[in-house]
Amino acid sequence: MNNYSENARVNSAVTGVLGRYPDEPASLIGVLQDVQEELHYLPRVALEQIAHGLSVPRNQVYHVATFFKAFSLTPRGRHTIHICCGTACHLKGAGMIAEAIQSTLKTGDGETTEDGSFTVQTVRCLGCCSLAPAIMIDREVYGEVVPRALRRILGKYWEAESA
Amino acid sequence: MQFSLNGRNIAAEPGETVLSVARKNGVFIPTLCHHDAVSPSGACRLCVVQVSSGERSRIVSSCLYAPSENDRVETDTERVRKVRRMVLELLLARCPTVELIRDLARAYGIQRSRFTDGAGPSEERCVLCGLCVRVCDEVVGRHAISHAKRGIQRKITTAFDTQADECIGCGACVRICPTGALHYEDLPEQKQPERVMVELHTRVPLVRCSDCGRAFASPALFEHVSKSVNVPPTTLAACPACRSKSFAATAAQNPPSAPAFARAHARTYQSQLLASINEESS
Repeated sequence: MNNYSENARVNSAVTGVLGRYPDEPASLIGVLQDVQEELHYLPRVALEQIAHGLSVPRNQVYHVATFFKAFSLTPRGRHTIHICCGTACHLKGAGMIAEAIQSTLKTGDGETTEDGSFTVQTVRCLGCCSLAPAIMIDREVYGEVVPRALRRILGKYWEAESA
Repeated sequence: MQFSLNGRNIAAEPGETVLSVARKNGVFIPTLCHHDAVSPSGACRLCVVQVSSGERSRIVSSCLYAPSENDRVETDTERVRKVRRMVLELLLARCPTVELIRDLARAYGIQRSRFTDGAGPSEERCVLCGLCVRVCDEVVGRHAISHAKRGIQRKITTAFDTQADECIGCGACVRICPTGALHYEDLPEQKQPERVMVELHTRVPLVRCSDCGRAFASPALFEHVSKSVNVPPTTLAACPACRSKSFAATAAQNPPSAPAFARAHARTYQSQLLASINEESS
């Protein structure tokens, strides 16, 4: 995709999101969340457009966008895999799960696969300790995960990708 | 509103902070991130004091805490000193080369910090107190810099870590910084003289003084000052040194009597004011 059409895509996504919120500084976080959801990251042009649209100084937008872990200024994969490393999951072998996922996808923690399909991220706790060890892909939680179940779980997303 | 400060009964305005009352009453509380020109933020935690009401006592930051009726505030108890020592030890680990922090630490009996990473002394000077951010936001109103990122990566920077066109090179951030973490350098010899905001990835063009030719301020700064104090930008074309020189020369040639001097000065100021208002409304 060339730069021009990429910018146009970002621009129309941001315009759409801005249209759903009142033009005021208090909308900032909601707008950033929606744009992140849609584009999987917050490109600079999007942040500039948001600053302008909500009359928030650029420094403030940058401050908020770089503060929260939910936002990324570099492209994230189309799916995000959160690997829970909380106490319960840790005891039930979250380390093995993380290793298996990272070696299957050939990524490190916080990195994105080469084809842009997955971003892998360890997190402290997903809040579902009774399902330990747990992972969450996008908004779907998978409990009592064992390494050999991973191919099946990830396969679902691969199929959807290639379909 | 009455409360007790180190055992003395003191009257305070409702909403007034302990720090402000203490300063008025000659009680010293150390601070790093406080400045009267900007809103308090409670970032440095050096100004902590102990507040007791009834049986309970707690530690609060005095730059933010407005006492309630009958609070007993102590500014220098062992508990307070212990918290400040910890804060200073952490600050000293981060910024071992900053003289002010070393002096404060020494005053609290700390020679060296236990918290070092073994990587040798850090050159870091910024304590992330945010005075620069607040002065740029609240006083100058340009919003050129802010905190970015979080945790150990937290830093002061411009939007997107690149040239900030919002910056007018006024240097307020450099002057308000308590630890000397920010600098600017002027490059007056260039064809287009510039001010480089060293840590802020930003260059601001400078103009030369109409008299001596020294590059001394940016056109954006002229515009800003001219707007905020209601003086036409032409008055600012000469640098401060040349302005006082020419003023002194005029005064020496034609020494006015004191009242006449005052009148004349008042008139020029008022006429300038009027002229600028007329200019704006036309």
